Amino acid sequence: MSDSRYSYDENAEVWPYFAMTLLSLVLLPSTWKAAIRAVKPDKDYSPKFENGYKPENYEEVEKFRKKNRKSKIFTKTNIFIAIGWIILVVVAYFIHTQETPEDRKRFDPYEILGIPSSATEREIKSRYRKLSLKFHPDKIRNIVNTTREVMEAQFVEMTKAYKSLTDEVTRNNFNEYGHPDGPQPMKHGIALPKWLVEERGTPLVILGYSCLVGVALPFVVWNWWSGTKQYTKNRIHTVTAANIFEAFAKSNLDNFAFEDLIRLLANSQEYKILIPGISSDTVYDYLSAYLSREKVEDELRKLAVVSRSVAILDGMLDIASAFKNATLLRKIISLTQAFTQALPPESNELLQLPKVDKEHIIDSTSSTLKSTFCLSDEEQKEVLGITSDDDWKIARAVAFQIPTIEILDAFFKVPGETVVTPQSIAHLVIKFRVSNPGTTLPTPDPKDLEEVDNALTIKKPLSTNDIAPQVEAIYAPYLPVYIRPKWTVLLVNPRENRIVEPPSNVTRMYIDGSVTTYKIQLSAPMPDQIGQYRFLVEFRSNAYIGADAVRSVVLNIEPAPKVEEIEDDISDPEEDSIAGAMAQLRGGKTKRRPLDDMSEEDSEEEEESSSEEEDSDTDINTDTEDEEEK
Amino acid sequence: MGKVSLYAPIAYLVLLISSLALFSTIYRRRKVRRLIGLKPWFEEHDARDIYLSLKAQTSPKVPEKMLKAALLRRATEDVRRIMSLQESKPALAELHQRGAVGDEIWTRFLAAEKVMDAEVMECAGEANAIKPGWAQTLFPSAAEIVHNSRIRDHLTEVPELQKAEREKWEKEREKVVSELEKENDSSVIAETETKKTNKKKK
Repeated sequence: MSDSRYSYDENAEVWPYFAMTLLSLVLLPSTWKAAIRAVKPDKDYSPKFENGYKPENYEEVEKFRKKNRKSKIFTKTNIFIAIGWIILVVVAYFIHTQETPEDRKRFDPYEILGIPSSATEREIKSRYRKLSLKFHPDKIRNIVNTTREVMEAQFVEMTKAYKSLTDEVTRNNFNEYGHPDGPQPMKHGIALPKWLVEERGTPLVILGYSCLVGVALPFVVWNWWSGTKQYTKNRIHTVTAANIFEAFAKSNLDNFAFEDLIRLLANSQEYKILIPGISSDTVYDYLSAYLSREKVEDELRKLAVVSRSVAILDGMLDIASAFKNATLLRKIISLTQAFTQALPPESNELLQLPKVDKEHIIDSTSSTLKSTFCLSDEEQKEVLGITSDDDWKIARAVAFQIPTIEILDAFFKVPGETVVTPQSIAHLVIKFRVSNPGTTLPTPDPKDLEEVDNALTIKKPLSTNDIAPQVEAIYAPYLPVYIRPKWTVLLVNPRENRIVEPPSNVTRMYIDGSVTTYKIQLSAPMPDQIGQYRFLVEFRSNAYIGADAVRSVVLNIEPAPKVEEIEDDISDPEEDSIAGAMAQLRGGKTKRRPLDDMSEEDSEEEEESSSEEEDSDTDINTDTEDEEEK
Repeated sequence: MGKVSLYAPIAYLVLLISSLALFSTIYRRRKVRRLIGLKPWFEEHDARDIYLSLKAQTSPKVPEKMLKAALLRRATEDVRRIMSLQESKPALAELHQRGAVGDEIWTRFLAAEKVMDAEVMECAGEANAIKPGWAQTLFPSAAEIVHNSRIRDHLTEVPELQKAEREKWEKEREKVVSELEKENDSSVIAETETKKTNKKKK
């Protein structure tokens, strides 16, 4: 029957389509992505703090920020996308201008004669006669608008069509295979230009292909691989990370001073990449100048250096957390606060407010944000060293935006249990709220401080962490980059001054004064000794000085409560019924079956005994106790 | 369709393989160069150098007592280094596992461990050469020396710490006292004022 044949794209008809499809496959999604990226506003930027206060280097800071924002549109990817679109347009134009060859038109005798395919031979003959009378070249001299040649060609077509339809074999062929000559060879086109496949193109193709596979591909992969290997998971340079680790490993962590930390920071590889040939001493000078809010000659360069420092400090915190030393972690977080607010570490928290008198505040060491804004208006001005009313209002507005954490309660909890039993897997529940200086919140509703289990929290205790909204942008007029505010939560064993859990970050909280719940899953099981263990829960901000909170939390390891037989069979559902299981999930009571009945059932139905709630008085799992006894 | 000569696949293979081979050699050479360029974890081992030069000295020969003391110092330094390695190993392993530090420092650290293993073996060999069986007691006594010096360091730190803490405490105390006094004053004023108003009312 039909033999198939592969042919290459001799007339360059198909491959432009192929190229266009490929291009648009890549271009459309990437353009969509780029558009979203460009349109999406800077999330970290909040005009909320446009209060008219301008630091001394305001112009440079704005210049730096603008420079960074602009680069969002003219990125490398966007340029590539633009080039891709240009190529696409060129290809589309090429396709558009290309003529479709005439001979590709299918020969359809029925159409030419204008008769249905079901016509009989007689009908065909009469039709042809009619048409030939009308279209015969000898008779059409009087028709305008058409040239003689076209007419003649048309007539030849008609004759051809007539002949093919009157011939038995040809007509059958046409009806069956769509072609008067019978079955046609199948044609598979490969959308490659022909010159690529011809012999004289071979060396070129081979060269190109080997270049692609042997040179370009390894090079790209290598580049990508060494690029990813150059930066750690925290997006800091591996050399920086190694330096930090080495410094921590080889020194006494308790005695690490702020100055050592800044020196360590100044030694980061990022700065050397940012400004080639810069020495770590120069960086240190820049950083110190920034912290003391001094202008330097090369202000933009200083800002560029500073803009990286908070991210590096984040990485430093992560590395320090592996050493578990709480003092060091606190110091690094303090330094982060200092960098955000451009103040020397452990400065007075009032200095973060705009318009305040620096010298005046340094003299009066005793004031905190909270104590200051409880005073009367005149006293506030006195403490802040502000004389004008407008300045004082600006300072106060900023102070009232500073969220200060107040830890209301913190306790350990095992999902679905009321006590923490030895060796159980617990999590730490922290109830806190945000208060602002100058406002006094009412005592919280004790209901808000309870942790009530429901089906979801038993399964996924930490699911409540994502309910509250993200914290908004921060007030940091000196910091040239926008950072996301977060609170690092440390769980410290005060006796050894070591953290017992890796630090975790809180970014979601209600800022209207209502209670937020934050839970930390403890990685280690509870101690197996019954007794009391004391810990410190610390919330430390990365943005504001004096917004931290510390609270002591006591872990009470208690023995599993004894099982009591409750013969209260009036209304409680059977324990092993569905209603009973529901009641248990809600923390309600269920009726317990007689003990021997249970054990019998155990031996029969392994599945049921291993399900979590029903087996408190069997010998399989004695340390998870039910709710219903209490 | 044009014919493709037999040389085409051969040329292709040759080109491909040679370019890959070139890539691999460059890559390996760079890797070796990078490994050579790695900084050793510890600085120069002075105690070991001193011991070796004392041992090598022939005229006049170094008395055995001195040699033993030098070896003990060397062992002490070894123990100090091994302890420091052991202390920071869990932290580095954790960080390396979760990708917070690069591979290079991990390689350096493992190399340092191997170097220290070899160093300890050599040191033990030297000890046994001076007096058979001494290696068993050499390292425990070296460890004791290390502990002792650590405690000593702590002790010398204490006065300084005390001074700093005292200063801090004094500052805090002054602050609290001044605040209390302020409060007292204001409450006294308030009291007198209320008294006055009361009197006026009366």
